Amino acid sequence: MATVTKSGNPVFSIAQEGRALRNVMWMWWITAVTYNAVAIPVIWDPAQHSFLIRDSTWTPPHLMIFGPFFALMVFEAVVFGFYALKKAQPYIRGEIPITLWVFPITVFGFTLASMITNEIGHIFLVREEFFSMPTHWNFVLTFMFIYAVGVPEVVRTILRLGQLEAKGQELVKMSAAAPMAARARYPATAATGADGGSRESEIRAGYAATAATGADGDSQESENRLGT
Amino acid sequence: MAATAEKAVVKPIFTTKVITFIAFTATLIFSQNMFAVSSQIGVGDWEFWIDWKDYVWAPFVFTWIVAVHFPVYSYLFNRFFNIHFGATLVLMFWFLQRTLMINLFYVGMNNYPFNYVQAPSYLLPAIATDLTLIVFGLKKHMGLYVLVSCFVAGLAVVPGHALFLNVPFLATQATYLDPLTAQTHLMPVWEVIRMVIPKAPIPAYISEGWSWPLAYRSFYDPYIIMTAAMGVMGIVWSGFTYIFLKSIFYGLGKTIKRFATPAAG
Repeated sequence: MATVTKSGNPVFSIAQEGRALRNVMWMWWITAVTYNAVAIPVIWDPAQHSFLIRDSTWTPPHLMIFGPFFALMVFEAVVFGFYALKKAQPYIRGEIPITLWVFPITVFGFTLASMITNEIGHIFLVREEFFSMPTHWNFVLTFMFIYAVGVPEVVRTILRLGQLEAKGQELVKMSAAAPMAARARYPATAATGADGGSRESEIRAGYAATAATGADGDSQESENRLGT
Repeated sequence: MAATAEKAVVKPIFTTKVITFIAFTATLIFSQNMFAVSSQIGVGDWEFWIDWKDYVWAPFVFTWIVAVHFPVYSYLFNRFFNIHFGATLVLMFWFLQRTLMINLFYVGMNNYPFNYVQAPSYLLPAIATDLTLIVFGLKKHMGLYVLVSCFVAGLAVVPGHALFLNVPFLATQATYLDPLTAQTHLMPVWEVIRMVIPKAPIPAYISEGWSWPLAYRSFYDPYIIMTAAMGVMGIVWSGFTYIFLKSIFYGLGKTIKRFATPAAG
């Protein structure tokens, strides 16, 4: 596993980091699908309210159709957020990125603050349920906020994977030359190769580079490092 | 041998197609979700409009959503995924989900009447913002792009209604039962309207089949006034759109700046 630097951030091999970020990407996808599925209660509820007068959020039908989604949203924001923060983001130096800590707070804001203010408003101000009233626009703003935070997170993760890709390709280039090393040990057969000389120097350079990093160990470790 | 080694290098390790697909679909779903909630609450249930007042007032709220959301989708999908029809794509995805949900919960469970008003209203503005970005490209000034695309999106709302709502409705074949002879006649809706209300304002391009563009519309015609007003509303909303887009790139830039070099070993 990772070691810890002076700044407190763990240092992963690129294979470990790559795996963690792929997990994060799946988590973002699951989160997105959950948010998309909220369309089910969000259409179902107004369809009922088109003939039922407004009732409390805490009635069984509301809890039944909204409850599981809200519970999932909160669970994902917390668990996935902590995974991203503690396990998968060692490459970020300095303070915690704003987008990462804002996301769970926004989700809490949606599930708690908006629901509570909505409830208070319907008890004391406007009894009837018109979804397009401006007093409901905090829900709109919340989802826009989630978008403004969630999309950069997805993009940030894939950009980092792009960086790892470039680094991984460098290492693959070096290890892909390995079969040539065997040929280099037998100059008689290597001499038949058309590009023997230049490849040999390239191989030497490659080995020198990996030796310098101290990572040129057994083949298993090398494979792990490359994420294969 | 060198060629074989090169081929091995090209094969992706981390940024596989699966990962790119996940990132793309996650962004698409997030976009659709934000659009769905904004449409549901910030625009309202215009699928169920009943009379001319709805027709008159709807463009005001349609302009809000098309001017604030579509330029953002166009820009982000082009920037991050090199897709040139982001807004239209999100709209199509939304339409799919919306149709499913409305048919299930409104029509299926509650037997509500349902007409497709919102998707056609959004379609022309979405195409307009995508085309504006194609004309502009990402290299040009983002603020100017937002200004122009919001204006164009707002401007396209009322013509979009004419194109996708009026024309299909007026051209629909209706069965008219003649009360005197008890015979039925198949005719387009505009013909029924003209028969029942002789001086009904049927658009010339429907009743005559063709007309000069705006042949007998004065500058003060409600259509012209409304279209222009919606364009101005689009410009007003563009400030908000710019802040929205900027905040997305601000968050991204803040974290990318802190990327450390990938570990070597």
